[in-house]
Amino acid sequence: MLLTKKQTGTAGAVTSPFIHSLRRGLSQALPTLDRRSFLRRSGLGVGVGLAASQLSLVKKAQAATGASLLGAGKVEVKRTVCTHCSVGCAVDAVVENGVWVRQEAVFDSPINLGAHCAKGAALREHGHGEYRLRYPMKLVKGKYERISWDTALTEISAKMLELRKASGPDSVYFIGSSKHNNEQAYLMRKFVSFWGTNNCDHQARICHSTTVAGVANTWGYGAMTNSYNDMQNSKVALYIGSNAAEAHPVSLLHMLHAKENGCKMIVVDPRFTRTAAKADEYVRIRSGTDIPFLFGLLYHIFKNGWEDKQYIHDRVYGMDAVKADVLAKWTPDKVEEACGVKEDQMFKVAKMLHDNNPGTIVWCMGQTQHTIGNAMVRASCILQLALGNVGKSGGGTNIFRGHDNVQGATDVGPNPDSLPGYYGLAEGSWKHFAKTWGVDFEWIKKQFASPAMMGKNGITVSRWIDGVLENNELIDQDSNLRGVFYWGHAPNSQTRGLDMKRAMDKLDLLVVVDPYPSATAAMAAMPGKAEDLNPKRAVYLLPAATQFETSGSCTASNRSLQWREKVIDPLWESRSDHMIMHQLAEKLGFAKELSKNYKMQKVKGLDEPVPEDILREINKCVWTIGYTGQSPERLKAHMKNMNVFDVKTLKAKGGKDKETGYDFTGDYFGLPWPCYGTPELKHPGSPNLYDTSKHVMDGGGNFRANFGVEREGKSLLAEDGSHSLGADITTGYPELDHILLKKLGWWDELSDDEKKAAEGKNWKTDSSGGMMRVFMKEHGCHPFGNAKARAVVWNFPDPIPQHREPLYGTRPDMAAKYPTHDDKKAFWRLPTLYKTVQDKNIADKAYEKFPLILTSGRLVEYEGGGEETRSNPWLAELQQEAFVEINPKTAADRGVRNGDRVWLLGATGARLNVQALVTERVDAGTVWMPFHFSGRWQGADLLAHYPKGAAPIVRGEAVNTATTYGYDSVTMMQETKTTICNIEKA
Amino acid sequence: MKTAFLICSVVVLAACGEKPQDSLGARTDKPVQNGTGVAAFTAPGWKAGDKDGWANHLKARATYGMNDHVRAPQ
Amino acid sequence: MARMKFICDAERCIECNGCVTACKNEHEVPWGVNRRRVVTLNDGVPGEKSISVACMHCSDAPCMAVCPVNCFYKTEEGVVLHDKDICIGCGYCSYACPFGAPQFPSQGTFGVRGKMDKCTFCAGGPEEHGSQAEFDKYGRNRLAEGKLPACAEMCSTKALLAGDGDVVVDILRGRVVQRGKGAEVWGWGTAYGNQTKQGA
Repeated sequence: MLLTKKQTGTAGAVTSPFIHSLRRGLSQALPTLDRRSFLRRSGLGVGVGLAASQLSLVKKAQAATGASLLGAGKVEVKRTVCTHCSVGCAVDAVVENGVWVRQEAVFDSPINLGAHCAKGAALREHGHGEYRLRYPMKLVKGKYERISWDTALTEISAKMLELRKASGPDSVYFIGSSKHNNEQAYLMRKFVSFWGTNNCDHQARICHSTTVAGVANTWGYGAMTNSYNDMQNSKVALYIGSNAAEAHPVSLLHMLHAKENGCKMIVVDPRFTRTAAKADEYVRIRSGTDIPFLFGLLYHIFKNGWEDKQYIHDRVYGMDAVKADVLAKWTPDKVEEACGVKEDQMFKVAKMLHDNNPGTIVWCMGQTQHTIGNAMVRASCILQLALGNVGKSGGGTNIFRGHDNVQGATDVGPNPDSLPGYYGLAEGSWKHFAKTWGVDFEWIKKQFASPAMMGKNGITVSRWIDGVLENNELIDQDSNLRGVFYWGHAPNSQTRGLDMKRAMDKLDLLVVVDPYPSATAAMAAMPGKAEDLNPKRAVYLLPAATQFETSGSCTASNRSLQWREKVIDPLWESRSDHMIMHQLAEKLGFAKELSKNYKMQKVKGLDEPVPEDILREINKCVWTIGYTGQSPERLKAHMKNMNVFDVKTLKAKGGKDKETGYDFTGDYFGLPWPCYGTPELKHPGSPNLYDTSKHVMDGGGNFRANFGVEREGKSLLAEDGSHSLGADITTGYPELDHILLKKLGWWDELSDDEKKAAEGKNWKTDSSGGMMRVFMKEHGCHPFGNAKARAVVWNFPDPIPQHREPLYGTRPDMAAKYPTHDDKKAFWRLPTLYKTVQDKNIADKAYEKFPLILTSGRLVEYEGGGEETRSNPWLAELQQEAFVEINPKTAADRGVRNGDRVWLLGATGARLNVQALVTERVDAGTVWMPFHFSGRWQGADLLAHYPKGAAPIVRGEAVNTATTYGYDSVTMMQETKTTICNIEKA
Repeated sequence: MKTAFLICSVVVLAACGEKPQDSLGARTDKPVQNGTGVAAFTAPGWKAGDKDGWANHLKARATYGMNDHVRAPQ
Repeated sequence: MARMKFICDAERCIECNGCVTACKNEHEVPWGVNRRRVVTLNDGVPGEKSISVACMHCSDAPCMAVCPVNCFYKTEEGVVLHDKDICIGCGYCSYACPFGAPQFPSQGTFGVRGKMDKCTFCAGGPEEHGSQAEFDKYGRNRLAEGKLPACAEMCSTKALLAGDGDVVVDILRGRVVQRGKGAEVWGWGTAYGNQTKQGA
């Protein structure tokens, strides 16, 4: 056949001036050296191991039934929520004959308006799950072999009971998950309690634990005060230690919208991030010097009298002391010396915060992951208090949580120092839960090694390795840790990878419960030091289902709860986490107690606790943070009618649910906690915390009375006239209990049944919710009292936040001026070093061998430890190599060119083989690596150590293989954001 | 014989000759507003075959889905 | 008449790659074929800007002009599509396209170039709308379903807009007015200055 000549009708195309000018224009575009272009891309996935058969022109979606997926079969649309970050983007999953075939944007969602980042837009791949863990496996002679569920559960439980007999229940550690939904996270805490230990934790420890502690101790609750949406109302936004453009991309939708309405955006970061690229003002600070920066701003604010004096008088305790400290210590010269920012830029930023009102502050890991994280976050809170920005729409401290349900898991899940709802570990709390759980308190008590252990904070996930490796005499529990569950948690997001490998080898039992084998599987299987390996170690992998294979609620960062519908049945042999918990509990002998209040449903023929029933149980007992009003019915109605909620305020303008007749008027989307009282009270949720401009029954509030009534002669309660709108008590007051209610003369407004339940109780333990009903609905008062926020937190290591240098730093001169804390002997059951480590590093001149600050952060394409997202080909194709960002000067000094392989040398002796990305994002003294990679270990590919067919497509060095010791002085958060390293050409 | 040869050569030569310019090339589509006929995957709010209805529906969809200043007015 | 257009608002684009994976998702695009990519200028320094690029469905498409087998056609809405059954994989359209839209999945040692693949504005190809053949060769046909391209519908910051040119330009114009800047972007007058007539 001859080539056909082109149509004469389209003659002149080549000579069209239009095309010529386009071509000319584009050729003059600056050559780019962006992150993607320098990496190997496209073409055959070299070294990726993809079968050539997958390169058919357009891959056919696999249909389990063999039918074509064109809508001819039974089609259902399930509404769910992305399982990656805490923004909580809604998704409509289109399912045909049980196969997930399409994914549609939910424009109706007030939170994301249909928007997604790369991860959210790629969710449907979870329905393919090519590289998932498909069936239970056991490590046999260095290889993973398939076993049956029954064998797995029998062997694991037998081993657990054996360990319990020999070493007590505290010898097993449960690393739970921020990616569990609320029901699973809550069940996990219950499970662990019935096993008899507080040795449980989840990702929040290494993420925002310092935030929760610091912020809660400042004014009451440790959560994001406003919301992503509310940022549309801000006039200035200060991002410090947050790369929202990559970590919370859809939040930028709200921020950029605000920018278009005149909001000023300031980004403070050691690195010029993609978020900084959108800023009106970018400030580069030395990693770890947030307090000098924030207090440097406060210096100018106080100096110029820009603080909100009335607000401080009415609602803040201790600002005078802070002011004196700041004016003395953080003069412009000291600020410049510490964080590198010059006076004129400091003044400029301070003025921007003063001139533009209301202002909000955003922080993430940049502030939290330090030995002084708890102090840094408090400095941010103090700044906002000084400006009078807390408790206002457009203001607040907008802390962006990480994983999709880290907020929920923190609220009701496996925390070592609290029971669901931040109830502590005192006997009263345990009794409160024993009552709801329908079990005998004495029985729970007997499960524990001793009553003392029942009330003692457990070990944290950041230190489980020391629970294994540390000297037994120095640990504050009977035995070392001998068994560990990695239940929905990655290992490569914790520091000290070298030590972690040793700890994994020494264990008697290691169980991974995860939809993917995770790096734990490979790390456990790879050979380590012969002397570390416990010959009796048993390693199991149990395939968990993802959140798309079950239903349940999750809590976004703005505290809204969203209900996920089940999209598909669990793939292959995976089982939902709550099914696994129930089945394991059956083997361990407490399933009856665990699932007492839940109906069972059949999933693929097996019993699974009904998620709605678990949420109803939460509704019955978590009064403290108002998880009582969000019934499954209300949440489901919200999800089906997202369009009635306003985008700027999250408030429903009206509307009724077609099916149930539920009236939305007044509700805030997702009933953001606190949603006080019973569902019948119909509290609308609280979109912005501590907002005195609203009535408590409209989500209004004030600061919490949690720290006493008076201190050193000064009142800790709010001043006269400072109260939520319409409150009958127009001054400060303590938290609600039966005594207060009686004193006020409102006791008789309770019904007889309510009186019976409330007698002798406070608002947190009154199971009728009656006291709350009277206090809030009838009298407009806040159940947790009305107090001042604390600028001075006297129970913290540094009552006024102080700057201290990191344990591994490059400035011995600064460490001399701002040394770290003293060592702690027993802190969360373990000896924890500060001074010893810092002093030794200086004595050893570590800063000469390792003169570069190593910091790490996120990429938009991946999430957390990364094994899940690196197993998604659509995402993996975009970031195929682990890399380290190096400044051009630093690179030139070492003879490193862009794209070269280099060795990153950690202070612990670890060596990482990564690709060099030479860029001006980082300054000459800092290098940066993304932390999402794993599957390579000091130069070696770990592919052989994964179960066959279940390794992520992209593997790379984990930055945490080379990170170091250092823990927050209140929460044991790991110091990941500042350590030291060197780079050499490979 | 000669005629047969002539006839054959004509036939053979005809096959070697230039074909007329074929200006069609690609098949073209049916109009997009005809729809796919698959109700389950089709967005509601317009009728198959109705060109203006389809166009207006898409305009509304673009405004609702992509104009956040309309969704969240100042 | 609806004349379909893409616009990517570089002030809003944060290089999140949501558009890239949305496209992969919707059409099961294989590894190595990148119908849509995000291009970043001045990466890592102040002035960094990103823009999402795929086929621009040009009014005067160079790919269509140079194709030796004439496998391209343009729909009434201005969407530029092609027929893979006729495509010979010569790659000429790839030379001609200023945006690098034509993609060629390559196989084997000699990089045998397969049929050209590119962004279809989610309008499929010459096969029956919504048929198996259309899905296998071109992906989904969202336009025929009364939807807009998946990439724009899922853009994280509503930077990438797609749909009727008038609506899309209105949205961008609104933003430019809010910001008080943007109209100085090169080529603005040429591309978006005049209202297109209905039916043009």
